[in-house]
Amino acid sequence: MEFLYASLLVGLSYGMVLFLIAAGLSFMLGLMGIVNLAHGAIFMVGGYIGLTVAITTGNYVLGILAGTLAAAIVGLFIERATLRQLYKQPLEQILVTFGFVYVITNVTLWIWGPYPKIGFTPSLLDGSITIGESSFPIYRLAIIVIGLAIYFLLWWLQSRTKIGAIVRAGMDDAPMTSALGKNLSPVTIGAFVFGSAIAGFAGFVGIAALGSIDVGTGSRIIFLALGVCIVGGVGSVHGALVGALLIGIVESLVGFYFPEVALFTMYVLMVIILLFKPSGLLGREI
Amino acid sequence: MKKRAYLVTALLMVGILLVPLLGSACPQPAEEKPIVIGMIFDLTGPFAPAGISGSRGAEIAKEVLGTEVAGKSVKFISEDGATDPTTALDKAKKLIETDGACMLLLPLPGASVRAIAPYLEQKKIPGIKLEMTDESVVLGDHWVWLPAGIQEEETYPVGLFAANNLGYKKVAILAWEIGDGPYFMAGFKDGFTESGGTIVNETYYPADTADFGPYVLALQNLDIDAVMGYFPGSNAFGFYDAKANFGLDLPVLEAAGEMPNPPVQAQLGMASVGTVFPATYLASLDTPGNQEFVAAYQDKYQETPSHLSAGAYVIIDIMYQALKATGGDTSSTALSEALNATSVDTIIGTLSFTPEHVGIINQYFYQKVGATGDVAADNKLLATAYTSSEKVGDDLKPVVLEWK
Repeated sequence: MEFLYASLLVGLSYGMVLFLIAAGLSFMLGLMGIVNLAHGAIFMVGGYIGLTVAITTGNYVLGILAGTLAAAIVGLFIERATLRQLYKQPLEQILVTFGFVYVITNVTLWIWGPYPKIGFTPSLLDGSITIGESSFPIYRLAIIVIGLAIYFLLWWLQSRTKIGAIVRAGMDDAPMTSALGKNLSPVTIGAFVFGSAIAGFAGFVGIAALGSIDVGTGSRIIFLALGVCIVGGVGSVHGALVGALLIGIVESLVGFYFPEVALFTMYVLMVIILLFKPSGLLGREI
Repeated sequence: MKKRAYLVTALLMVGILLVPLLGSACPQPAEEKPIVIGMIFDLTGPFAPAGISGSRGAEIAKEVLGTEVAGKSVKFISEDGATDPTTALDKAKKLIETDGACMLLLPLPGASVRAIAPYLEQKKIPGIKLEMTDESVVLGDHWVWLPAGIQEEETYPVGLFAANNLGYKKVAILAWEIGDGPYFMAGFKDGFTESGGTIVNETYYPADTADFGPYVLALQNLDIDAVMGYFPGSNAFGFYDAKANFGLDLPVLEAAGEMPNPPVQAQLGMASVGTVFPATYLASLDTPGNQEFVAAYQDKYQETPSHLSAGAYVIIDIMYQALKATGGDTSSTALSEALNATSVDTIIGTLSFTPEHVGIINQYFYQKVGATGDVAADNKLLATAYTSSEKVGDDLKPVVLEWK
């Protein structure tokens, strides 16, 4: 029974990492209608920059700040350089952002080389605690707390602030929102940059839980993020959290008890959700 | 007037058509086509660390061995196999049909080579594989050569060694399910159970496993002496990091994987200390040309070459020997016969092939990761096995010829 609790905890922590990865993507897709396939690559930028700063300075918080800021800057560049011309054009968005995946991947290969790099864990969160007969990493417990904190922050921003209301109103009816005197342009830029910043934050914080980062991470992560968006639904913080936790816990339990089918778990969940609730468990219609 | 315009236009067109003919009428020195060698390395995907290491070895081969053989220039064309069998097959087709490659250096993943092998048979183009793979690609009408042997040759002695020398009685297996894992583990299981050991649990984790937490947790639940694993590419980082974070205090035995790759082992650091792993190459080998290769590699890349860098170098050496033997003839039959008759002193020792195209004698160096996790500094050489593969019925079975 202790192992069941421990594996649930493993799933919960993995789900929180998935939530951090997918929250920004869900936000961009659901509220702004932007299909950003470069989200995984932005995650990777945050991871690499954060890791470099953390290793150089030995400071975890500086690593978080650097990773988040770097991802925000990359997001700002992508939005200003290309996506601002392509709102409401999903196919063009897919092509352009997919191109950025290649560009960012090759730039990271130049700078950081081909070999994977292990994540940075602060000494305070290093080590493990005993749960029954199992050991459980302290860092993973911290990830659960961090994930919940980000969830409440996003929920508050989206539902309880004026900016959040403008973003939602702009997505539902942009002409009407503009007619009411709201300038949507800075809000849209800010929202995209914010979504990218969350990806960068997740890049640095998440890789320490999952092991390592390499130049292929961006391409792999985007599939996980899209899986969470499909299962949980887009444009809803609750949807991203529920989708991420569902995938994380189911994948962990399957990996523990039935590893031979672990490869298909997320995809089976996606198919079931698409069949019975195409907008995802808690998603907005887009 | 109109007639004249037509005439002028017609003359102009004839003139334009004649220009290239006039050009070709001028005496030009005949340009001989270079010999094309195609190479597929996995520069992206989970096997990227291995692919890049191999491609660096090929670069050094070009520098040290040159790009001219049997009086002809050699052109190398490299493609990214992307750790994906479909992509690798597409690239093999491109190299042979578009670029005119007469031989291919085949990539590391067994699944990619199994996808390419039937195509090589169809085209009658020899392919030499980096490191080992399973026997299926060298049985029947085959055009694949395996200088490093079949996978079971590397892991069968690990099973013997684990039971007889390390004293392990109960072991759990955790290996990558795609292609190579089950083949590597088959050799280990044979060696371990023949020596009285028991396989308590066998788990094959899927490709692109993002979280090794559940697998490490499952290992904690087992009454075992050690874990036998196969963690190629980025999987090594996921596993060893989870092992350290979850406090899993069990010895690890590895099949192939990333441990013999010095830069990767350096990245893994203390997480991998104590792991016992095999390698087909040691940078310290006192073989003809090895120190020249190591010096050139270190000079260019500021790191110690891995078994994969050495493997790619050796393959190009073998290809050159075959081309020398044919006098530059790149026909399929000539190259195939030359490769079968190969007996060449390489940086990993003297190399020749069995009728099944497998290296006659293969050497595997079993090492233990030292206290600093630095492969060059303090990895301890535990034993060296010299193996071969014997044909038993329709199968190839590993045989240990000698332990040192």
